[in-house]
Amino acid sequence: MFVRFDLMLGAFGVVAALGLGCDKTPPASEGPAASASTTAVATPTSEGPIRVSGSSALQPLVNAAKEKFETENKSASIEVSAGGSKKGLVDVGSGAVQIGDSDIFAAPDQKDLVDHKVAVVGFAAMANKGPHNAKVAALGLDQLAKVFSGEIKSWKDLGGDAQPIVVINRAPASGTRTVFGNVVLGGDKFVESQTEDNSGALVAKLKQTKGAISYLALSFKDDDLVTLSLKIGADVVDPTPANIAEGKYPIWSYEHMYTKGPSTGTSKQFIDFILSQDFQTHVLANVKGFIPITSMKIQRDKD
Amino acid sequence: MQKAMDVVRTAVPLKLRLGPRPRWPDAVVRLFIAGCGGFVLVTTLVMIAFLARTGVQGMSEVGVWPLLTGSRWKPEADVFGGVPLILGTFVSATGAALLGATPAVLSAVWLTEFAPKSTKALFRRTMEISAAVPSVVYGWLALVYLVPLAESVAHGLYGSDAEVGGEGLASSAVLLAVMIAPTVLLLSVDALSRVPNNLREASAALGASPWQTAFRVVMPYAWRGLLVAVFFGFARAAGETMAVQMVIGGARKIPANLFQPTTTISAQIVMDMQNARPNTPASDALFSMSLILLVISVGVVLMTRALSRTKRA
Repeated sequence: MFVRFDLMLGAFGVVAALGLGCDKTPPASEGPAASASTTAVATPTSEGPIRVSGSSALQPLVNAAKEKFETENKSASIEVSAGGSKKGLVDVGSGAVQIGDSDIFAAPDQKDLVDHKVAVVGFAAMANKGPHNAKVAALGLDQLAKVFSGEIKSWKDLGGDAQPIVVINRAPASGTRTVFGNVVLGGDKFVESQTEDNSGALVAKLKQTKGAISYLALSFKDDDLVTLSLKIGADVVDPTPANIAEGKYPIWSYEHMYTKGPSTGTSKQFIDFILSQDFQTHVLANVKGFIPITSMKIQRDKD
Repeated sequence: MQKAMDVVRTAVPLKLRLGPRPRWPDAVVRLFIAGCGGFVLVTTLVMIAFLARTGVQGMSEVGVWPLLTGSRWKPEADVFGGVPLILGTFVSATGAALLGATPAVLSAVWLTEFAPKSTKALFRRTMEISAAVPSVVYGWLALVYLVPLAESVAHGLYGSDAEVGGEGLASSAVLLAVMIAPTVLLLSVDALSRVPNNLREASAALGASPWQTAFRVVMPYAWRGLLVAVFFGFARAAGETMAVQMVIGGARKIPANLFQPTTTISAQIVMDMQNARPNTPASDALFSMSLILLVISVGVVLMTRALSRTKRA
């Protein structure tokens, strides 16, 4: 009897300790976030961590830049996360992060956001590889439009074998979907179909699904997939950095880093670092799929 | 706390349990426990209130009628038809309840009425383990093994040129059936074990075989408990998110058959939430769908409550 009573009290003790915990935890977790953002606003030159979120296409590049930047500036700290271009724009607008990465231009109503174009990425239609499309290497923009709006349903109509086309989409939040839709379909007019919410999973799905076709950033180009070139007039234009820089291949977008108001302090240093000639030509150009902003011979002011 | 326990230990001798003991540790502990309880309660109430407010706001913005009857869900174009989502949730949860609960209830009957004692314990432990496997693990296994299988079944049924694939309601119903079966089984075993033994003995004394006893005496007596088990399985299936999202395909349209990609309420919330800026119709409509999901789950739970309260089963 005595022992049991003793144990019970012990258990109560544990519960009480947990009670202390749950009474105190919520304010504590709000504390640092709130104070971090206020210090960042009040003293922009402070050495608090710079938070970056958004485009998963740009993430590998920002990570590469972060490593080099932090080695050169011992006191600086950059935290990079990804969640899609539109999330990056939402986060930087709300002040949750200092830099929002995006494959697309900010919406017209987000006037307080300042654009920094740091690189260019090309996109292409990519398809499951098989005998059914062995003879299909390039498609016209009109053919692509018909495929992705669901009008053409068989590889036979594209010069391949009789095999149903399975269109796989990215989620609507995807920058890739937005850019590809704007250039190829003149807007988000994709046929409603199977949807993957990130590029990595999409590559796996494309390899697995016979007859499948989708669209990806060229940083995800894969030898086990068919990367389709474009038929423009009588020419076949490959999605190469040179063709994109010269404006011959139209499916590309800027990689933007948005700040709320002009960039200041460490954010500015970090963006300037990425834009520096040294980083653009020696690092960025060697990361798969990225094209230095400095090599572009044409410009755009909307997607 | 250790000190307080020492005080109690010295203050309460073995034979004098009702003796005087210091009151303040008691009061402090009580306060903490009450505080914790209150915290949980307040959190829940605040959450439901917020969901109700934002959900209703969303309904007034996009309209209840389109939300409940529209057949296209396309928030980026401000089109909010909830039918594909609600239909997907209902069909996959109902399919799961049928496919998963039938074997689960029958194996519970076998376990309580026919299985040897040693098997019983082993079986129970195994089911407890499967009930504890995280849903993302089930989802991943299904994506790798079930979806390709479903794809070949689909092409077998509809022909190799048909617009069908492995992702869809069939896969998600089968996956959910596997996921809810352990829970339904454990709850059914509990319900069947509560059947008084003298009923079984009386049945045997009247000359009924174990088979007749199980199906004509034990199951009818425990039907409420069994129904509660099945409904809980349904509620769990309706709310399951991660695993379903991995196999449902994610197309926001009403599928023509069980082998075409579609979506469910929970899967679509996960898909859309990163795209929804706060205080936009897109975000509010997501809260409306969350509210509908909550109403479905709470409705099912209340129903089981009502059933189990009518009579102890």
